[in-house]
Amino acid sequence: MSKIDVNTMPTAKKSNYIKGSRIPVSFLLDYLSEGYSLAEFLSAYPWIKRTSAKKALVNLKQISSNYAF
Amino acid sequence: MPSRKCDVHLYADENIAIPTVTYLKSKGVSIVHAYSIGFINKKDELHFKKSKSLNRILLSLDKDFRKFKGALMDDHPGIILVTSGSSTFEHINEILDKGLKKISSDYVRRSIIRVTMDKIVKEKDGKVVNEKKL
Repeated sequence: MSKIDVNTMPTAKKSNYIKGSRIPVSFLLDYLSEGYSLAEFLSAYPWIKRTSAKKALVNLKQISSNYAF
Repeated sequence: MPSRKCDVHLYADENIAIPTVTYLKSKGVSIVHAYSIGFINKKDELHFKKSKSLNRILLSLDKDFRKFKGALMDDHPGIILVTSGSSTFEHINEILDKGLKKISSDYVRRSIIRVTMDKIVKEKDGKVVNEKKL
Protein backbone atom coordinates (compact mmCIF):
# COMPACT_ATOMS: atom_id res chain seq x y z
CA MET A 1 0.00 0.00 0.00
CA SER A 2 1.40 3.41 -0.91
CA LYS A 3 1.67 6.11 1.74
CA ILE A 4 -0.61 9.12 1.55
CA ASP A 5 1.34 12.26 0.74
CA VAL A 6 0.10 14.95 3.14
CA ASN A 7 1.23 17.63 0.70
CA THR A 8 -1.24 16.47 -1.90
CA MET A 9 -4.10 15.52 0.40
CA PRO A 10 -7.31 17.44 -0.18
CA THR A 11 -7.87 20.04 2.53
CA ALA A 12 -10.61 22.52 3.36
CA LYS A 13 -10.00 25.53 1.14
CA LYS A 14 -11.77 27.88 -1.21
CA SER A 15 -11.76 25.26 -3.94
CA ASN A 16 -14.15 23.27 -1.77
CA TYR A 17 -16.87 25.72 -2.72
CA ILE A 18 -19.31 24.85 -5.46
CA LYS A 19 -18.12 26.65 -8.57
CA GLY A 20 -19.59 30.10 -9.06
CA SER A 21 -20.64 30.38 -5.43
CA ARG A 22 -19.32 30.53 -1.89
CA ILE A 23 -21.37 27.53 -0.84
CA PRO A 24 -19.24 24.66 0.50
CA VAL A 25 -19.66 21.31 -1.20
CA SER A 26 -20.40 19.93 2.27
CA PHE A 27 -23.74 21.78 2.21
CA LEU A 28 -24.75 19.83 -0.88
CA LEU A 29 -23.74 16.60 0.86
CA ASP A 30 -25.85 17.54 3.90
CA TYR A 31 -28.92 17.94 1.71
CA LEU A 32 -28.39 14.76 -0.26
CA SER A 33 -27.58 12.67 2.81
CA GLU A 34 -30.79 13.84 4.49
CA GLY A 35 -32.91 12.80 1.55
CA TYR A 36 -33.33 16.09 -0.28
CA SER A 37 -33.06 16.03 -4.06
CA LEU A 38 -30.58 18.02 -6.08
CA ALA A 39 -33.51 20.14 -7.29
CA GLU A 40 -34.45 20.97 -3.71
CA PHE A 41 -30.87 21.98 -2.93
CA LEU A 42 -30.81 24.20 -6.01
CA SER A 43 -34.04 25.88 -5.02
CA ALA A 44 -32.52 26.63 -1.61
CA TYR A 45 -29.54 28.25 -3.35
CA PRO A 46 -31.01 29.38 -6.69
CA TRP A 47 -27.86 31.14 -7.90
CA ILE A 48 -25.99 27.82 -8.10
CA LYS A 49 -26.04 26.24 -11.52
CA ARG A 50 -27.09 22.61 -11.80
CA THR A 51 -23.96 21.84 -13.83
CA SER A 52 -21.76 23.29 -11.07
CA ALA A 53 -23.42 21.18 -8.39
CA LYS A 54 -23.08 18.05 -10.52
CA LYS A 55 -19.45 18.87 -11.22
CA ALA A 56 -18.82 19.17 -7.47
CA LEU A 57 -20.19 15.66 -6.97
CA VAL A 58 -18.07 14.30 -9.82
CA ASN A 59 -14.98 15.88 -8.24
CA LEU A 60 -15.80 14.30 -4.92
CA LYS A 61 -16.17 10.92 -6.55
CA GLN A 62 -12.78 11.41 -8.14
CA ILE A 63 -11.17 12.32 -4.81
CA SER A 64 -12.67 9.34 -3.02
CA SER A 65 -11.57 7.07 -5.85
CA ASN A 66 -8.01 8.31 -5.42
CA TYR A 67 -8.00 7.03 -1.86
CA ALA A 68 -9.75 3.72 -2.47
CA PHE A 69 -7.73 0.67 -1.50
CA MET B 1 -41.07 31.74 16.88
CA PRO B 2 -40.87 34.41 19.54
CA SER B 3 -43.87 34.87 21.80
CA ARG B 4 -42.80 38.50 22.12
CA LYS B 5 -42.23 40.56 19.00
CA CYS B 6 -38.80 39.82 17.56
CA ASP B 7 -36.92 43.12 17.26
CA VAL B 8 -33.89 41.88 15.34
CA HIS B 9 -33.36 43.08 11.78
CA LEU B 10 -31.30 40.58 9.87
CA TYR B 11 -29.11 40.51 6.80
CA ALA B 12 -28.57 36.92 5.63
CA ASP B 13 -25.41 36.16 3.70
CA GLU B 14 -25.33 33.58 0.93
CA ASN B 15 -24.79 30.66 3.32
CA ILE B 16 -28.35 31.02 4.48
CA ALA B 17 -30.78 29.05 2.33
CA ILE B 18 -33.72 30.88 0.78
CA PRO B 19 -36.31 28.68 2.56
CA THR B 20 -34.91 29.89 5.90
CA VAL B 21 -35.50 33.49 4.85
CA THR B 22 -39.02 32.63 3.73
CA TYR B 23 -39.64 30.85 7.02
CA LEU B 24 -38.39 33.73 9.15
CA LYS B 25 -40.41 36.25 7.16
CA SER B 26 -43.52 34.13 7.72
CA LYS B 27 -42.82 34.45 11.45
CA GLY B 28 -42.64 38.22 11.26
CA VAL B 29 -38.85 38.60 11.30
CA SER B 30 -37.39 41.42 9.25
CA ILE B 31 -34.74 39.84 7.04
CA VAL B 32 -32.99 40.74 3.80
CA HIS B 33 -31.06 38.09 1.88
CA ALA B 34 -27.90 38.87 -0.08
CA TYR B 35 -29.52 37.22 -3.11
CA SER B 36 -32.47 39.60 -3.08
CA ILE B 37 -30.13 42.57 -3.43
CA GLY B 38 -27.83 40.89 -5.97
CA PHE B 39 -24.98 40.56 -3.49
CA ILE B 40 -23.84 37.01 -4.23
CA ASN B 41 -20.38 35.45 -4.44
CA LYS B 42 -18.86 38.13 -2.24
CA LYS B 43 -16.08 37.90 0.31
CA ASP B 44 -16.84 37.79 4.03
CA GLU B 45 -15.53 41.32 4.48
CA LEU B 46 -18.05 42.65 1.97
CA HIS B 47 -20.99 40.91 3.65
CA PHE B 48 -19.75 42.29 6.95
CA LYS B 49 -19.70 45.83 5.54
CA LYS B 50 -23.03 45.38 3.80
CA SER B 51 -24.76 44.35 7.02
CA LYS B 52 -23.30 47.40 8.72
CA SER B 53 -24.41 49.74 5.95
CA LEU B 54 -27.92 48.27 6.13
CA ASN B 55 -27.78 48.48 9.94
CA ARG B 56 -28.83 44.84 10.12
CA ILE B 57 -27.42 41.96 12.11
CA LEU B 58 -25.39 39.64 9.91
CA LEU B 59 -26.82 36.11 9.91
CA SER B 60 -24.53 33.37 8.63
CA LEU B 61 -23.39 29.78 8.99
CA ASP B 62 -19.80 30.74 8.24
CA LYS B 63 -17.54 30.39 11.28
CA ASP B 64 -14.91 32.51 9.54
CA PHE B 65 -16.83 35.55 10.77
CA ARG B 66 -15.40 34.90 14.22
CA LYS B 67 -12.27 36.65 12.96
CA PHE B 68 -14.13 39.96 13.17
CA LYS B 69 -13.36 41.35 16.58
CA GLY B 70 -12.07 44.38 18.41
CA ALA B 71 -12.41 47.74 16.69
CA LEU B 72 -13.94 46.09 13.63
CA MET B 73 -17.07 45.39 15.64
CA ASP B 74 -17.45 48.99 16.87
CA ASP B 75 -20.74 50.40 15.65
CA HIS B 76 -21.62 47.08 14.03
CA PRO B 77 -25.12 45.66 14.67
CA GLY B 78 -23.51 42.30 15.42
CA ILE B 79 -23.27 38.83 13.95
CA ILE B 80 -25.37 35.74 14.56
CA LEU B 81 -23.66 32.50 13.59
CA VAL B 82 -25.76 29.37 13.50
CA THR B 83 -23.85 26.22 14.30
CA SER B 84 -25.52 22.97 13.43
CA GLY B 85 -24.46 19.47 12.60
CA SER B 86 -26.21 20.01 9.30
CA SER B 87 -26.60 22.97 6.97
CA THR B 88 -30.07 22.00 5.73
CA PHE B 89 -32.70 24.69 6.15
CA GLU B 90 -34.81 22.39 8.27
CA HIS B 91 -32.10 22.24 10.96
CA ILE B 92 -31.28 25.92 10.69
CA ASN B 93 -34.95 26.91 10.96
CA GLU B 94 -35.35 24.79 14.07
CA ILE B 95 -32.34 26.38 15.75
CA LEU B 96 -33.38 29.91 14.84
CA ASP B 97 -36.91 29.21 15.97
CA LYS B 98 -35.61 28.62 19.47
CA GLY B 99 -32.67 31.01 19.43
CA LEU B 100 -34.33 34.19 18.22
CA LYS B 101 -36.73 34.02 21.15
CA LYS B 102 -33.83 34.87 23.42
CA ILE B 103 -31.98 37.40 21.31
CA SER B 104 -32.56 41.14 21.11
CA SER B 105 -30.79 43.65 18.90
CA ASP B 106 -29.14 45.20 21.97
CA TYR B 107 -27.82 41.79 23.02
CA VAL B 108 -26.20 41.22 19.62
CA ARG B 109 -24.78 44.71 19.01
CA ARG B 110 -20.97 44.76 18.63
CA SER B 111 -20.88 41.03 19.44
CA ILE B 112 -20.78 37.65 17.84
CA ILE B 113 -23.58 35.36 18.92
CA ARG B 114 -23.23 31.66 18.27
CA VAL B 115 -26.52 29.80 18.31
CA THR B 116 -26.57 26.04 18.56
CA MET B 117 -29.34 23.54 19.19
CA ASP B 118 -28.99 23.88 22.95
CA LYS B 119 -27.29 27.18 23.74
CA ILE B 120 -26.53 30.76 22.81
CA VAL B 121 -22.97 31.94 23.32
CA LYS B 122 -22.07 35.61 23.22
CA GLU B 123 -18.50 36.51 22.29
CA LYS B 124 -16.74 39.84 22.40
CA ASP B 125 -13.14 40.25 21.30
CA GLY B 126 -12.84 36.49 20.99
CA LYS B 127 -13.90 35.86 24.58
CA VAL B 128 -17.12 34.28 25.81
CA VAL B 129 -18.96 36.91 27.84
CA ASN B 130 -22.33 35.27 28.25
CA GLU B 131 -24.02 31.93 27.72
CA LYS B 132 -27.70 31.03 27.70
CA LYS B 133 -29.25 27.58 27.59
CA LEU B 134 -32.02 26.97 25.09
